[in-house]
Amino acid sequence: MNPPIEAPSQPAQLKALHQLAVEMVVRLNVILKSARIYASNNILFQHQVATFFELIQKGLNEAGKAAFTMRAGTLFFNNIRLKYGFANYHFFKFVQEEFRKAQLGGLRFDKEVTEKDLQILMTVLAKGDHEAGQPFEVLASEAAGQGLKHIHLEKLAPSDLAPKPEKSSVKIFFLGLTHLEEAFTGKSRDEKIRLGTTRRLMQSIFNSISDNESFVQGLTNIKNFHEYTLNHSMNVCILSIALGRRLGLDRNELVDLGISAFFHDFGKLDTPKEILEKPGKLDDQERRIIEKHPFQGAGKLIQSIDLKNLPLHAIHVAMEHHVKEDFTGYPRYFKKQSINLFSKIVKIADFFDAITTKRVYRTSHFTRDEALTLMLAQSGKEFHPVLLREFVKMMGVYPVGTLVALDTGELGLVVETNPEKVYLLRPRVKLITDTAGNKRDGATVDLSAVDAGDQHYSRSIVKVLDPQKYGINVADYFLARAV
Amino acid sequence: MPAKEASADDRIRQEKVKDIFIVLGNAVSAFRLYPSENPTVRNFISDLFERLSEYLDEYGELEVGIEEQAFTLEGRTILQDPNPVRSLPFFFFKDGMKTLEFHRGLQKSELDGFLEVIREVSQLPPEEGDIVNAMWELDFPNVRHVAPDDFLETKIGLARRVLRPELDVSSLSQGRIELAPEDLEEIRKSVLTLEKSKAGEGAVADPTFLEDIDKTLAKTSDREMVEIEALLAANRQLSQDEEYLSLILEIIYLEDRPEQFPAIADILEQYHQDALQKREFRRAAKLLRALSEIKELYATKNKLKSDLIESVISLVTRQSQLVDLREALDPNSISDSKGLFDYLLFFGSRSTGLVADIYEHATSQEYRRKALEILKEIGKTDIHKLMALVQESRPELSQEIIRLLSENADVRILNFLANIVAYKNPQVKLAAIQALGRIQDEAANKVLLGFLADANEEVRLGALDNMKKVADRQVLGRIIEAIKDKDFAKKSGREKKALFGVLGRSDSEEACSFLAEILGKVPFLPNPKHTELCLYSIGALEKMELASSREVLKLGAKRRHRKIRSACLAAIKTKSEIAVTYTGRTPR
Repeated sequence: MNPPIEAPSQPAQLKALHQLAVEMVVRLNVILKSARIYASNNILFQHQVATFFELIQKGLNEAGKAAFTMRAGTLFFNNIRLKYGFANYHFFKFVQEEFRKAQLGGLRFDKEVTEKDLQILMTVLAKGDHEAGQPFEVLASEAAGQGLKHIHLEKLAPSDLAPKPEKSSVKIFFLGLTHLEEAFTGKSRDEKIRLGTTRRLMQSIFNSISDNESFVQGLTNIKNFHEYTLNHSMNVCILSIALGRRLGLDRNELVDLGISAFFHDFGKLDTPKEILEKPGKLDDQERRIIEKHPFQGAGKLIQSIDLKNLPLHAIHVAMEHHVKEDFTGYPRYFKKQSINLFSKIVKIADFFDAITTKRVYRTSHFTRDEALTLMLAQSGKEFHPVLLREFVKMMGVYPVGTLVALDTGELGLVVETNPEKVYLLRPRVKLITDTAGNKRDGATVDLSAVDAGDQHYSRSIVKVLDPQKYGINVADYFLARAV
Repeated sequence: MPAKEASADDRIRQEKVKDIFIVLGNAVSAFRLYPSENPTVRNFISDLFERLSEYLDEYGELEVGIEEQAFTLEGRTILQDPNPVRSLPFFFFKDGMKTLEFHRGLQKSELDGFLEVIREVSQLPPEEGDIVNAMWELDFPNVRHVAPDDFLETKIGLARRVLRPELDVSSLSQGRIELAPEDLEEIRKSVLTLEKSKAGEGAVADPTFLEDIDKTLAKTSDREMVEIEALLAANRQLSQDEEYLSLILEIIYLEDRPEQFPAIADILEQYHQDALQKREFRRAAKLLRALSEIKELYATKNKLKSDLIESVISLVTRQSQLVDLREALDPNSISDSKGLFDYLLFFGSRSTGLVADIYEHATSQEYRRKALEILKEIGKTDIHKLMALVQESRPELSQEIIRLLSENADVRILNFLANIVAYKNPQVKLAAIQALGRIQDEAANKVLLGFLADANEEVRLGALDNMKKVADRQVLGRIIEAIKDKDFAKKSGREKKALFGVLGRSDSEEACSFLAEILGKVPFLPNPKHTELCLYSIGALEKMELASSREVLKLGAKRRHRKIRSACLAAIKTKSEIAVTYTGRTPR
């Protein structure tokens, strides 16, 4: 039986260990990526391992033990929960993702651990087969086979092993739509919306995004399902939470942000449908009517939801999501001279989803990458520049759901972006046709993969295509993963 | 899955877990009944923590399953509680929790927090309390739970089918995608460029494109990180109440549907009540101020809206609010005194009762001063409200009110001050007397006469001293009568002097004649009382500016009585000095 690891009791000791652990996570992030590019005898790789080894030694000396564990999507070091801020979000996200894919629940380092052990571990982790049915078993077997002695691997707890996280995410998405419909249409004047269920829903969305952000972002390619406003609100909710998480909002804030985004267009309940869905341009009076939906939505929220449970931000967002960064837009305030942070976040998500959705009144729409370019041109005027930049970085050069033509003649859908600067143009792509254009349920390929023979990239993107032009419903490919 | 046959070790373990959960149940019960510092509660928590720590040291973690009426361990029931009202398993089960986990590294503070959240949730109405929500938000590192999303299916879509698209997966692998010629052409060109680059003959992509990517997707700069941190910090520091009010007011400003105003009025009323209950008067005052502003804004633009806002203001500032506040307010525990007084200003004269109460009961001089300021404001528009506050039962306040009323020397208060003659409290009477003195009006002098019969000498003295420049014959006549009265001799020296002082300040010939008469009378035998009268008369004559007063003194200076003679001479000298001071010339 392993002796217990005592969490340090002194605050200073705790802080120092936490800092050390964060440094280790950052280092781990670098090593794993290096291990994917370089061979194990590469000097750079070895240098990284040596640095990590020093950190582990330090941890062992100071605390007597060194162990990483992952529980419910959270990383712990020696039972200290590791918290990440905006600055190191990427590193944590990457490492947690790696753990999750490998079904790795823990790494425990013995006092006798060597650099060789670390090299074996990193190589095995980096090259692990995540598509395998039992990735952890494969990993453990490989590690044992290579002689890993002083680092013990533990499998993720059964509760952390979602049978198919995509299935759960899709279920949550449509439960969200249904819940919105209930809120928008099903309530009588006297019956208040109970936010307890909405909060649970937001927690589930948060958990989904934590588990598989790329897939959940992919679900925002579902457009115009059942009722535009409902589908749009759900997409805005997801994109807002994803951006908020990236910015460093804590759990409670993210739930509030999600609720705010969820109800941002509540005011459209009072906007006549014929105006909302008018095919042509709106006249002045119709425009005036539609421009009332923000403050009418805010007022409606206050009346429909128990005030003590209603996040204040939800009122802000309903009111302000069409106010621009330069304070133009609508509505024009009487006295208020600031725009709430959540309003700025939702505004970005709202605009993005709206212009990438085909509508009867719009002669053209934008692909996701075109939308980002358009938004960047409005940075500072329409959108907060720093927040917009983070959103664009989150979405990537080729956002999830982008239809791309590859140099091989195949068509693919981007399913995961690559945040590494050197691989910005090389996301992971699901192949949806063969080289001759025949539709197929192809593999998911990593465009950063290099051909072993000629050392060139196996596949490269040569053009972004408009899926609507070819009758491709991008959302179907994501929904199919949940079947 | 059926549980396998338990070994001896398993049985020991189960017993330990059962004991832990029994203690947990006791701790929860105690927590629900008593405050967290209660010794019984602390003992249960210590016991629980000890047992849990011991268990976790040995086994690393404790994971129990949750069923409707039981806790289970690896499929076996370890503790059952069928009572739905107090059952701990049911408490977790009803919110969809399926497992509860404790992990090695559990801190006592976490356990405290866990029990606290159970207490808080169990005190909420069933439809509001959700232990899963609460625990998720608190995110204890070593107390975890599993609550599958299926639970949401019991809450959403009950009245209707859950929305879900139909998907034919096979269609994704059927058919072909024929690209349009223009796209094919662009692809062909790009592939060519790419091949050239592979062969080392050129760049992969448009350099401008790469530059843009570089710029846009560059690592977040330090400046940007600082900006984001600042945005987050500012968001966290928002005052909920202030922001809420600010938003509501903007909604009122923008709303143009009259039928929405009753609902808005209700919301404002709730906000207002909340502010009052929390004694956050500044908020309440801000609300009223802003509403007034908006009302004024629309007064010419949209009369209907202006009237609607006025009705909202009226609702919020109805009289019963003051009554309730008056009953509930402790004047000595107002943390937001400035706010309170700003707020009360909106009620105008209707708040006089409450303000008076505050003055009466507050020990803080600051509060009393502020209360008087408000009363002063009220007095400017409704003097009668102030007058009504002057009561025997409120001597201190009454004095202050009288002082306030007299500040403007408004003759309207004369009748009111006349009533105070009948009061018993001498301090209040003195305040009234001083107020009358400030008015310097003959009518005021007449009212002052009423105080001359007062039983309290200080009151009488005060009345006499405040009779300035008396010219009215009736008043003078009364003074002279008082001097002639047989009871004059019984008065104190101060009062006698004061009576003569009135005559001296009157500067009237009639008074001068009376004084001359006293001075001119020479008794046959030495008469101390007469001498006393003469001396008082001399004092009065000294004060007079009449020329005849000097003459009288000159006559008096010829008297054989040494005291009288000296006094007259001294008085003459004083008068001369005063004359030189005034005219620069020595009088004859």
